Amino acid sequence: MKRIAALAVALLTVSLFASCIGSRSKSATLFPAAELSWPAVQEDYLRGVADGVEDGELVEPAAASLRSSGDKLGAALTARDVSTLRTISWPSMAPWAQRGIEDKLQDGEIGPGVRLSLLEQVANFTTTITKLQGIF
Amino acid sequence: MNHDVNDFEGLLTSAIAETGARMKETPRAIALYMSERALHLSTIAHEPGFEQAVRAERNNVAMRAGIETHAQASAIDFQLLGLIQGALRVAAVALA
Repeated sequence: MKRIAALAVALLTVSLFASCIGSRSKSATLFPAAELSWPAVQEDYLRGVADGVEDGELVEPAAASLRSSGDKLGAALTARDVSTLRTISWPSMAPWAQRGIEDKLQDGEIGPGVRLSLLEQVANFTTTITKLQGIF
Repeated sequence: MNHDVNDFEGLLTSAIAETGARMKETPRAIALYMSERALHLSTIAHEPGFEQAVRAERNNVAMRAGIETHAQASAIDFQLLGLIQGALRVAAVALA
């Protein structure tokens, strides 16, 4: 299992190498990392929003707005668009990602240790976005 | 644990040196973080969703490297790139 983990990490890191090569600006150290991490964070975020709807804590218009904000964030990262990024309040969205992680745990899809890794990911993503919003 | 950190730091420093960059404090911080995350991964390999944790820890190292490097206002661009590359190389080695 450990060898599988090592292989997985080795393979996955290649993608970030590729995304970093050629980057020379200061923001290029944060943008690639945030862009790389967003799909995983978004997965938990959308899971949390869906759980909110399922539990009746969110009505669909609000849920749609949250999903739209997520799409906007992802597009801003891809475009390296700090101006758009600054219009998005990720800290207010992050609790939905955390909720998604807790929902995965409750449903038995992840274990408690995996939960910690995912929560750490959300925390690092929040810090990264905050720094990106203050770069320029 | 401490031995692992030293190993990581050595690998990280070597990888950065190969790029021609020089950094003093950040490699140690990244090495320590990588050591912690690798240790965490090694304890949860039996858990459901482990592959999600592997992906998350890869992302965590990448983001932390960016965060730590960004904190060094005096670092030049080439150093930043070297650090990221070095950190990723260590990430690949960490669980081997």
